[in-house]
Amino acid sequence: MVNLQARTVLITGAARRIGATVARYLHEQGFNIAIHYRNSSTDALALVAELNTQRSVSAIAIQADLCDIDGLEDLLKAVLNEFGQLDVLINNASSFFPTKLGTVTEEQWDNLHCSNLKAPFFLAQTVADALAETQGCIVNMIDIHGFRPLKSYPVYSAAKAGLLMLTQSLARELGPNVRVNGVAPGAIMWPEDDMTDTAQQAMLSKTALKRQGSAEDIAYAIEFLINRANYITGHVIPVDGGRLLNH
Amino acid sequence: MEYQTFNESVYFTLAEIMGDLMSELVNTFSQEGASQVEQMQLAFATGDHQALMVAAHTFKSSANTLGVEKLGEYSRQIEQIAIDAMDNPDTLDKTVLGGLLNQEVDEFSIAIQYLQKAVG
Repeated sequence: MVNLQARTVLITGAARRIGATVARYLHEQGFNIAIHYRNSSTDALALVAELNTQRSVSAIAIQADLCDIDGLEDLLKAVLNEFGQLDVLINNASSFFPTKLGTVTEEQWDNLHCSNLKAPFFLAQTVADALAETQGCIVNMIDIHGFRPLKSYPVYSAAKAGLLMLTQSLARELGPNVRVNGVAPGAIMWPEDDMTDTAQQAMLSKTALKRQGSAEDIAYAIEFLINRANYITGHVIPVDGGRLLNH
Repeated sequence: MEYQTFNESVYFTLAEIMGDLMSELVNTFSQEGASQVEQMQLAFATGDHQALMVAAHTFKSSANTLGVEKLGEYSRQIEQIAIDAMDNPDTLDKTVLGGLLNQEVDEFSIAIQYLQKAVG
């Protein structure tokens, strides 16, 4: 039976990696979890089963292409039909790939801007009333490269910079009933273990804390913004070990 | 690092959590995987590195979730080649990529056999 007392969080792109870690952590804190995924059915189904084994009827997976703006209403309906309310939206889904200047296509531009900027905006617009009813909040997953550009990733960096401004704009637009904040990960998870040790050490040497962060560090920051930041809106917390200090 | 064709420990840990849903999960992986392999082959044929990267990225994760590690590793290598090609097209060695894709197809077929046997 669904626990209607529990708050509900919708996390986009939550089947794997940081999104899945955040889902597990918030589930541990008692939230019902709606896991959005686009292609990763296997991972999404496995994660939902894992969470529902720990607490029955506490997690669902919803497939959606977030760039299909007309379909966002159905995504919200699926959450409300299952859990009856929405308290938190975490815009985590993101495309990430290099766009070397001189080779960038319009399709690549659209892809990166859709997942990193357009979809978070339209999803926020879609769920705004539901979040206002619960005095809820939005947490956007930005990136330290929304503050400082990542070499060879100009389109991605621009899209994340847009998401940074969107966080501030939405905080103004959706107050006083909905808070909107963000988290900007730094050296958290290497891109699927593809970086060499030398490259990893070079990156870590630029952080003040001289060590890699974990996906749990992101989850803790998000939980803080949800549960303990009632007077904070329009802000972004870099979870980067001090990387931005020395960029 | 040694990658196993079928890591029983990973598979059966997941199977314990999934219970009766495990066969559904294997079926989903089988169908999803066939589609992703097809997408990778098409992307290779058309030189669409972005599509290749996306398909390989998803497939890698699903394979590792089910414990078919060697398949996950081939997918990881394909994804990395696609990313490198997007960053610098001069790095692309089509022969190497084509060979990896063939290995991926063969490994997928083997992985499905292992998974179907395990699920019973």
